[in-house]
Amino acid sequence: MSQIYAVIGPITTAVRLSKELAKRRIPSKVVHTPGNNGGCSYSVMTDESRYELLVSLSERYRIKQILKSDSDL
Amino acid sequence: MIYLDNAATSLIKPPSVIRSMNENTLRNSVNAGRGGHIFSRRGAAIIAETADALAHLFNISNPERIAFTSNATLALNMAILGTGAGGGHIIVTSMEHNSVLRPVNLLGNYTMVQADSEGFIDPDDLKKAIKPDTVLIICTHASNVSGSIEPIAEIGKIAREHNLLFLVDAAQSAGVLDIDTESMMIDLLAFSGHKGLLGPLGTGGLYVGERARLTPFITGGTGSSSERLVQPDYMPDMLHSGTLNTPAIAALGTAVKFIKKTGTDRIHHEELSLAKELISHIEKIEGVQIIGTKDMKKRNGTVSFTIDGMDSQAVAELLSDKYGIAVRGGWHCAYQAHKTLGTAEAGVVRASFGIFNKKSDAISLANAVREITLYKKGAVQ
Repeated sequence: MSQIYAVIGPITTAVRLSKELAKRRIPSKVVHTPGNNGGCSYSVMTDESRYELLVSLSERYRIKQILKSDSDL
Repeated sequence: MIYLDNAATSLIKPPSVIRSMNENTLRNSVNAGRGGHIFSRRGAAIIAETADALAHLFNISNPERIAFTSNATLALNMAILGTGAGGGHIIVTSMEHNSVLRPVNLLGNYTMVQADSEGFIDPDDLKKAIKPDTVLIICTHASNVSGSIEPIAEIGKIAREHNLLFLVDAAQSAGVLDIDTESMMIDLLAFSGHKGLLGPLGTGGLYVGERARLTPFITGGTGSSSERLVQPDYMPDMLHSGTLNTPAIAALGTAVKFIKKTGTDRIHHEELSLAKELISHIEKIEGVQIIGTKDMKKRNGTVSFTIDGMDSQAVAELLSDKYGIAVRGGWHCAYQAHKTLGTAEAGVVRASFGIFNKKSDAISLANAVREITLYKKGAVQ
């Protein structure tokens, strides 16, 4: 299964999103945004099936963009 | 030794805070948000958890709007220089600490509104001071000299009605008095972590509401947006340049949990009852003047007093060296407040109670003051 990255910026916000996903029993991991997207910003990596959920959480967690691991990097 | 200088810092911390500080120094002396490894993430989780606890305490809807600082002074400077850098007019009160007055004076364009002789601000006076170019109103929540509690909610309403930012200095109130940023219409809240919040030294913070636009005057590494030469424009990274004190912030989070469990109402009530006890004894002593109001509903647990003909700092030294009681004499970094209260000449002796003080502490101080006045009169050799 491919992974997607919710690109955020501040690590504290990324940690909060990861906690929100954990509450919904969705595995995720806070990572440095892969590639050169956003310099040293932080992202939350999770399964691509959660794309729509991440879109719905975009405003609350200031998600700048959602990257797919196999095409956007 | 009896410690009655909680307005400077709370010397005694809850055991859980000491344990937290020790454990986090041992296990979590980590640099939050520097790298993608587990320690960086763990540090960030600690920072977020403490911000969450503070947000709950102060009714802040978005904890990401809280930045950690090393003390309230830095938070106030960030807020004042960050909002006033454009040259806009600022309104302050005569009860402010130098951590407000000095940065405001540095900017230059300000009006100082006088409090009354008991240290209270009339919100209407602040309203009258508003000019077309006013951008910010600043008011302390509670005076570090007189203990007067200012009408924050009323002032917040005035600021909001005039579309001005409202900065509250909560150095003397955080952890002791109820603070509700929503209902009090506070845009910027500066607080110390090591006083009433009972956290470690080197902790404080600044809440920046959605209406406030700050220009950060400290810039540097934030662990984010590294490709840019300009500071991130998002909170909290905008104000988080440099490495944060993760163990201390973790312990501050533990302290906030203690405050919430104990309740600010109870803390305020207990500190106030000690202040009342002290006042009831020393007001009867000839030559002793209590500063500020005796209306206990309008004050906190700080009691300042003078002894006729005696230098306040000399009294404080005597109390420390002869009686083992730590109080603070002098001007308390708030000379304008002393001018307002009529105590600029000799300062005052300030006793500030904390949650861990006992009734016997207040009585010991009262007895010592009585003895000092008798010595002075030559009644005791």
